Amino acid sequence: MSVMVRSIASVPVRTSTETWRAIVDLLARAASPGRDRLLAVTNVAAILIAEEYTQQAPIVVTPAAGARVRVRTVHGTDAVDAQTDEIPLAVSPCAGTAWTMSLPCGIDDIEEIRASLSTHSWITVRDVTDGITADPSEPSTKSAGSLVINYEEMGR
Amino acid sequence: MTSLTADPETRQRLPICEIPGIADARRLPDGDFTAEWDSIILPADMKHRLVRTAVAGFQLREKVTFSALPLHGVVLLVGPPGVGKTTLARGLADKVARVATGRQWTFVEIDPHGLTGSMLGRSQRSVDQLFNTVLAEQAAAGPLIVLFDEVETVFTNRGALSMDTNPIDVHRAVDAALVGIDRLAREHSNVLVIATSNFADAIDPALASRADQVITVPLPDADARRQILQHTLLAVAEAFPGARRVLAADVLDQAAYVSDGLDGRRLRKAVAAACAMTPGSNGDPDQITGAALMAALEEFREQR
Repeated sequence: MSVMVRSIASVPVRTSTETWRAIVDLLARAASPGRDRLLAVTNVAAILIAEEYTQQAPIVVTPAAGARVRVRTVHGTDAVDAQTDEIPLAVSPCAGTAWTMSLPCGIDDIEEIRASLSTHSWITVRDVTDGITADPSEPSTKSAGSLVINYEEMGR
Repeated sequence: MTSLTADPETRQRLPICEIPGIADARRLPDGDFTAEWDSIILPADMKHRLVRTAVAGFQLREKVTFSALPLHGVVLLVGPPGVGKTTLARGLADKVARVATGRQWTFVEIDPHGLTGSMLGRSQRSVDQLFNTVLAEQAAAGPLIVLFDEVETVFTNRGALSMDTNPIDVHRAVDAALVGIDRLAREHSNVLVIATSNFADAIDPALASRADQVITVPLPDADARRQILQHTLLAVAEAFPGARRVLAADVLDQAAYVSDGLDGRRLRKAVAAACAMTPGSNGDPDQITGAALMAALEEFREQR
């Protein structure tokens, strides 16, 4: 598996700001430098959520190792059902600082949003109508091998 | 042997515990589970054989294709209530994580009742989400052991379903679970599913056929009963030294003899009951006597 996909309930279940905080909890649950980075862009991210760009195209997180994470927001009546299906991730992809994030944005707002995030080099902003290109060098996270058998412990 | 006193510091519950259908999720090894492995008394070599089966399975699945050797990484533990199937499963999970080292192990215990619902399609959706999202992602992150207690709740024998219930929903849920087990087995060689059941006949045969090994956990024999009683009394005596008097060899021998037919859980509860049986003890475990233990065991046998 190379991609983990999640949907987060947004308006009217949560405000846009609350939705971003739920996404932060998903990506970096515990206090960490990565969580601080995410919280630092709350206002801008909340705008993208309020404009429903994150419903049309996902937020994409590319960690240094492991699977990519795609997060979409769900709005309107579908948000009620979506809230019951929210599932924590097996890992915290943004706990550290070696990750990047791509945020979707409408063409009318994209320059202004890019300017707002210009000091946050780990975040890029793409046109909401652009597709998502898979990185061919993306590591496979299929679990296999590399277990070392401790025969002494086995015999105890 | 590890300390008989549980250490809460060793527990590391994971966020996925919040998901309906997940009873527990933690990193392994875990001190609580180590104590459970030590506490479970089984016929000679059964525990070690289980470990060897799991380790051999991991090695085979890593190197041999599924089409040539269709190992699903499923061990099914069946037997009467109280013999320690769940305890054995948790202990086995911990032991495997201690034997097969080099990566971070995760343990997930399924709450099967959290997966079933009265709404049509809800059970299938929950089961599908469990296998294809929660477990698949955990397995992708590292080696995984899944405990499926009371597995017949989800893998219900479809051939024995009454049409008065909701057979369509159950059929769909069982189908989803079987597909999920197959996909986990094919895509992740480092997953071990330990399933337990008190009702072997209630399990869908399709799951039983996928099990790499079906183990019947028996009622304890006299030697096992003696060891279980000794283990329990040692734990009590750690906190209440007066209980050491009941650890005399002749008392344990007699207790093992009179307790024929009792399962491990009843044996341990009989020790607690004995603490209240000694006249004038006021329930003080320090006052437990051999006679009280025999009386408790006799009473438990009569209640069977």
